[in-house]
Amino acid sequence: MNAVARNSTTLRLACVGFAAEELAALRRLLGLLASHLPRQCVLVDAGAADLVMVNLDVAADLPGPRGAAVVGCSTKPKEHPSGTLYRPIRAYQLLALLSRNALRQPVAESAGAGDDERGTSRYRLRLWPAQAVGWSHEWWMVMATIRRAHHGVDDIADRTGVARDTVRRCIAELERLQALDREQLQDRHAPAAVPVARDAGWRTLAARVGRVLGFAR
Amino acid sequence: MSASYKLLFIGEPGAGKTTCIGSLSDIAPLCTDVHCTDELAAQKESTTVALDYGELDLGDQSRLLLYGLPGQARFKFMFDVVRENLLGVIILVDAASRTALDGLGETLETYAADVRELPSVIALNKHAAPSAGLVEGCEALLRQHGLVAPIMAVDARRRADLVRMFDLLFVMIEHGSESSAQPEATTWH
Repeated sequence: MNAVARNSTTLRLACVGFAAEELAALRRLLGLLASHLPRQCVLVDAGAADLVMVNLDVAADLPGPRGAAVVGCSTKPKEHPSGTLYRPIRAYQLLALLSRNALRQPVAESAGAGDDERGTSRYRLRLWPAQAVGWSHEWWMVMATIRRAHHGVDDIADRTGVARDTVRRCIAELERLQALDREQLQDRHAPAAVPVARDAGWRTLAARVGRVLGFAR
Repeated sequence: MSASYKLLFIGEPGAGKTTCIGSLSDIAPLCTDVHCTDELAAQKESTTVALDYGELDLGDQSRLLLYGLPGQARFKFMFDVVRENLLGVIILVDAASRTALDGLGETLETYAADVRELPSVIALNKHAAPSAGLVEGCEALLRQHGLVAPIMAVDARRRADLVRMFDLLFVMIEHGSESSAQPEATTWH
């Protein structure tokens, strides 16, 4: 497939585990839908995509979030998680999927992406994305921390004990899904995160319930 | 001295509150079910008219108290019974019902102001793979009522599903509370 440079007007779609004839059909569908999409959509290799469609009938599982949105497709979508598309791809589902993703701003182009390093951005969760139910505990901890109040990356890391890089990846994915409110501090010299001594009470209670019900803490 | 913590299940009639509490409780759940005499009779034989109650023994003389409340506005007064020191809320939706979004809408209309600040999970019960349309409808209702909560499909009869839901809810309880807050418990001497 041709290399396509990142361009705010282009949505890059990749397909994993699809047969050649399915890809050809998909290309024809993209051509038919082109005039109905808010951004141009092109097929690329998985590593360079904004959106990856995975054939769940040949792949055991969806890959974890690595910067691209991932959606599963199957001949039996009801046997897979909510949001799985029919295979062969149906035009109306493809149009809905691409329209939804085309309206999202790529992470690298979002306002002030470099502000995290300067500690001037604080985030609050605007919605809990449907796909986040399958994410890791560490990402849940990040999301729980910013559910009610704005916090910066350093502050989140201090409160949760999650590594800063992991917090940044989670924040980037949430931004890509438009699930965050970003608060930009006016003072470019943002105050350092206040060290937080986590109270052991909540952890003890969660551990106790986990022990009784059988989820690890 | 023993300590008790409260969790609340709310939802439309038939959403699965009684089943959830029954799946988790160490004691025989106390129910206030009566035989349906209205249009609900076509869906189920009985329905909860006040509250369901169960308990989970946490050891060290502490207990998790499980309450179930109907989602309809006319039962709102029952919330005052469980409001104090409530840890979190599970909002149940009958995902197999054609009026699932109406049921969730009424529940949120009734309770959103009270549960907005609490950790909460939206549990889509009775359907293994709820449609994208239902999930998007639930998301829209949550936005409309200013709630930020995960939406997950569960089978209220399966303890494993409820454990997964509790796992997520307790991450929210543990990390969504301000640092100065302590888990408040009702104490019994």
